[in-house]
Amino acid sequence: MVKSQANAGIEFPGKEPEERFRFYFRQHWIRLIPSIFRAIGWTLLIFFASAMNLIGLPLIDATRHFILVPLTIFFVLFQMHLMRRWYEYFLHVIIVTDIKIHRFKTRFLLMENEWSVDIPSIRDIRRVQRGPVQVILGYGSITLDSAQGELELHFTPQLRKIHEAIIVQREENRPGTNGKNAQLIKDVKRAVQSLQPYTE
Amino acid sequence: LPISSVNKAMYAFLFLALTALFAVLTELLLWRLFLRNTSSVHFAPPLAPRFMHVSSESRMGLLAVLHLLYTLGILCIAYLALW
Repeated sequence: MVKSQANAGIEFPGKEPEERFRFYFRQHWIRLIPSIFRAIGWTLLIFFASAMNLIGLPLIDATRHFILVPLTIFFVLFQMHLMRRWYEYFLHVIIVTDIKIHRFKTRFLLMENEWSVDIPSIRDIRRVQRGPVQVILGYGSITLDSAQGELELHFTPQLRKIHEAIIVQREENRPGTNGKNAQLIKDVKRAVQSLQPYTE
Repeated sequence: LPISSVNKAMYAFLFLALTALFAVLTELLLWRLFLRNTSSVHFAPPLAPRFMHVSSESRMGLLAVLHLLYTLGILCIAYLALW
């Protein structure tokens, strides 16, 4: 549920005093799957390799270490890679307020990207789902075509609802509508309310 | 040279101390990065809707604990594999 009173105190970089928080989201968790599988694979490998003595392989300590050291290095590297991916996922936040969409994207020391677009300047909002996996899991890309340029929000979860929620924000901000789109706004507000995990 | 059990215990202690230090330092770095990025713990990771009564602060605390356990866990597994 969107509770404007409770959300009044939520601060984030680039927020204007009159801005009111609506909801936020992160990319879909599917982005973490390759890293998770790689980490699980190396964990299984290190467990089987470290049990070489137990299954009776006649290896001296030096040989065993010669095999295990590179495996252990790769095991730690891939676990750290998973952790890095998780924090990149965690630090990639898209915040929708009543007048702007903010995107905060951090790649640790490699990149810090903060991007904002005025909702009234958005000319077109498109959503695309490519392939059966995206359709089944309900994620995809949203393209925002605005006066500041075109921006794609990839791996957007709950694609249909978030797309509709952005549309309603734009309709609310559009000058001269004077309730002409009241029914659309009412319908889509219901969709915004169903984005419960992402609003407080 | 053969490593005595005393030496092994000393290495294990040193390793654990370094691992804990590494875990705490990465934790502090990530916490600072997170707060600089969003300025608010409100953007703690969302949980399943049935746990939404859990506050943002508690979710961040949970994340901090999980980070420590995960870092300690993987480095201990690496150490034990080479034991």
